[in-house]
Amino acid sequence: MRPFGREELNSLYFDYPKFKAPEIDKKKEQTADIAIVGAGPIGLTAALTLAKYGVSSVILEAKDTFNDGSRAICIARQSFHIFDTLGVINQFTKKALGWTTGRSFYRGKQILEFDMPDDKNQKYRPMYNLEQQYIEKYLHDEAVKQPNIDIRWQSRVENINAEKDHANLEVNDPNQNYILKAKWVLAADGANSTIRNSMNLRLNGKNFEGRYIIADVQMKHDYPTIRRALFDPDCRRGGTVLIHKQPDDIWRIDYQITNDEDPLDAVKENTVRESISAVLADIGYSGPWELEWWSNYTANTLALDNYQHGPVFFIGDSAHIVPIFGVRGLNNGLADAQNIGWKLAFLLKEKATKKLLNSYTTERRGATLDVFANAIKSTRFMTPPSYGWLTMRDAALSLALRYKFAGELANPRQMEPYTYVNSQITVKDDKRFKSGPKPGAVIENFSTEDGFLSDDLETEFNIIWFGEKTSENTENLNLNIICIDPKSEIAKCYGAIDGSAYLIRPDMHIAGRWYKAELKSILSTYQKILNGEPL
Amino acid sequence: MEKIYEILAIKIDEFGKDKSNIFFAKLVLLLANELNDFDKIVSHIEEATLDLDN
Repeated sequence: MRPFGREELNSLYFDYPKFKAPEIDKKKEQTADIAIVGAGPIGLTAALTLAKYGVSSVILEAKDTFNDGSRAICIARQSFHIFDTLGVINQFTKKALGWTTGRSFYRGKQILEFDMPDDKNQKYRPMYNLEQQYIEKYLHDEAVKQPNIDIRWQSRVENINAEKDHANLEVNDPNQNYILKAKWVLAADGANSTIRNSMNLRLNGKNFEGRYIIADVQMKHDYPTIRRALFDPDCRRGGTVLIHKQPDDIWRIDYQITNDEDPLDAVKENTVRESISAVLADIGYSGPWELEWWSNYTANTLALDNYQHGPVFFIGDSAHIVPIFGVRGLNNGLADAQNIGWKLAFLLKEKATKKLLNSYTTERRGATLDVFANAIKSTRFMTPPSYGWLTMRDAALSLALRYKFAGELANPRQMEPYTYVNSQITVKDDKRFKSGPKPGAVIENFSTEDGFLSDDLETEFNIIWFGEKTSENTENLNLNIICIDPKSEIAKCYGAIDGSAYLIRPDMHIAGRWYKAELKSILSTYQKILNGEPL
Repeated sequence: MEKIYEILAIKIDEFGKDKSNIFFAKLVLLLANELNDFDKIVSHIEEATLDLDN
């Protein structure tokens, strides 16, 4: 929502472009290998991932511009690695605000300062703040440069008919109605997914009690990029407030609507202004500020039981809705897009079989359930659902004023990427390894002479080989071999000896590792993964 | 033990019905942190639930 007198897209800092509908030259019946429904950050990431492998897609978007309001603002390290592989990272690092630290306060006193893991071996910071419009703009700027991405704005998908090996999408734009027959469909159309609804699929899970207002204000506030959580502050007794810095002097203020407030009144502009004034007074800001945008929010943990239905894959919010506190909504969606992106690309380039796609639900729904488990914990802390949870939360916060151990209970533990240990395409661990990242996990990055280990990864599968380069030729399989000195720090971190090897997937997850490796058996495993055969 | 019994009674009266729950929760967390024995603490929690008239 925008303040009175300002239109929906009238932003203080962002100029919304208006994209035209396709010209009238579309046939009544059209075909596409892949149709992506939704041009938000998830749909665009899927399209760019496919394009990177030379696979074409058509994006259908009902709106004529980017999403209104700043929405998702926290981008995790692994998402920056995704943007890195898509060639868009420079815009992000230039604009986004990196951060590592969070501070929690109880009744005005600081009870906890936590740092997320970060060191010189990390190419990117653990978290970055950036308004969602910029995320969409940077991805879109790159997508329009790609000849094999066809973005159709003002193109609403009215209905879908999913058959076994294709789906027909009924598309309406201002100039025509037509059927798009697609071999595969990626539904990236958000929490209120038309595709999901028209296929009569339901999200299952829980709704939580707490209600929040999410507001952005513009002000010259002098405070570093540190996430602040205020528990039971003077400005909102019994409530919780979260404060994030964003670029362009925009500050995100999330605050809980307390039990004695009327939820209908709480979303009104005057009430929002009063509430924000109180928060700003509480944090010692007395200068001028302007209200940019606000919205309301309830915490949910909802997901589809299966992310694949025939030729249709659900990615992002269409598949799962998670509470904001773990900052995994956008980040998990981006990982969904990358995951299905490389798998579909391998299939369409005839390097993999359809069976590979079965791992999408296992891996990405597994990641969602993991988020749920963590998010339920943090949601209970942020908005205690009952007297018992409230008593223990307040006891922990009150103790935390003097005891560090109690402050740790308030640590939101922003999550690391999910480990695909139970995936059908993850090899069982080689027990001879005493340390190092395990199969299913994301690689441990390392700074090297001229950059980072992650920079040496090529777009398809990679082998990290500890020892001399072998003479065997792997060119036909598109496998890149990175040779590393078995006496180096990297080898130590990977628990490797001379002759150890790791097989790395296109999304930086480890497919398997061998303590004393033979190239032949790695290649055979690689083929089995792509064929979807049991490992 | 009698002395502890007396101190707790006086504290409960001091904080009243409203705050004694949080007071007890804090006390348990402090003692649990000191004891640092998960199984023992859980078994004591279970014992404390016995014979409470509901």
